[in-house]
Formats: sequence, C-alpha cells, structure tokens
Amino acid sequence: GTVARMGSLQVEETLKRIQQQKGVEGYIISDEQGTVLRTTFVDETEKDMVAKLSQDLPALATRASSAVRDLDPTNVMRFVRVQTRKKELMIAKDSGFVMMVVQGAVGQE
Amino acid sequence: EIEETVKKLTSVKGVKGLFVINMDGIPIRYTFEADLVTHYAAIAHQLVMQARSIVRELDNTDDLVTLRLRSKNHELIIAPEKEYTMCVIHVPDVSYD
Repeated sequence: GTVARMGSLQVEETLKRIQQQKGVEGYIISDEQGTVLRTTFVDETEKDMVAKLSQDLPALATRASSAVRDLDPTNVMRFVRVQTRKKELMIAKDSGFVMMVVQGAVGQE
Repeated sequence: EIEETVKKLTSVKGVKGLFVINMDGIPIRYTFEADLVTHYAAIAHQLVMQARSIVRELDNTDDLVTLRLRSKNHELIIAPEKEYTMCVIHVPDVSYD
C-alpha cells in the first residue's frame, strides 16, 4: 500500500538527501488533495505554514500541469518553482503524491 | 524600459519566445503568434495571481519574485513587475526527461 511504497529504502535515502541539500529548510509530502502524509516541519510554530502550503501548493501544481498539457498534449509538467524574496518553494507532483520542498532564498541564476 | 528588457532577453540563447502581459493579463508585447500568445497569457495571468496570493497569505511581508514551470519540453518563467509581467519560454540545451 501507500505506506509500504513510501517507506522503501530508496525513498528514504532520497528524502534524506533532499533534506541535506544546502538551503533546504524542510519538505512536505501530501496526496493530491493536500492531506499531509509526511513532513519535516513538526514544530508547533510550523503547523500554520504546513496547513497553508499543503492546502495551496498542490492546487497550484495541478493547475500548472493542466495548463501545460492544454498548451501541448505531448508535454509533461516536471516541477513548479515559486521564488519569493525570502524563500523558494519547489513543487513536484508524481504518482498521486505532491512533494513540496521549502528552501531559503537562492541567488539569481 | 520593457523594450530594453525584451531586446536583452530575446538575444539569450534558448529563449524560444517571450511575452509581456499587463495587470489584466492582456499581452502587450510578444515575439510569437498572437493566438498562441493569448493562450499562454491566460495561463500566466491565472498562475501568477494564484502564486502571488499564496505567498502573501503565507507571509504578508514577502512577495513573489518568479514563478517557473519546468516541463519536459521547456521552462516557462513568469516574472511579475509592478505594472506588467514578463514571461519567457526557455528551452535549455539539455532535455529534462
């Protein structure tokens, strides 16, 4: 089931690698409806942020991927990056999961 | 000012197309076919508004700088300014499979 898939060693290692990336503050994994399955933001002070992000970001990613397919049915959405003055939010949807990574602001590329 | 930015960006390697939309989402400057731009503009406008509201709701001292949609064939980079939004369709050398 879902838990077994999520708990595979490969997934664990990938998640650990993501968390260790420079600038990464944490991640949230949800289903497409925004139900949080797993997150590194477990502090009481972070609850509000997790609720908002898991509610809003999957919808943004869904809209973006529909738009991309609409424009070109052969194209596929990979990920969405929301860059703000203070942070970077990276959203990737795959196999019914939504992965949201929160990073501190990165320099201009 | 827009013209300078447009000129600079269209000369960047990998820039497949570029368009500028005003605050209502109307394309005011573009480098490819009008009917395709209309489609892109509607999408960019919707998404930038949605993204911006998410950011402001999360932290009202923060603001959206760029929204990037990375897909298999290209990257759509949406950069809101005060009175317009600059959008670039960028195709890097490497295909993102």
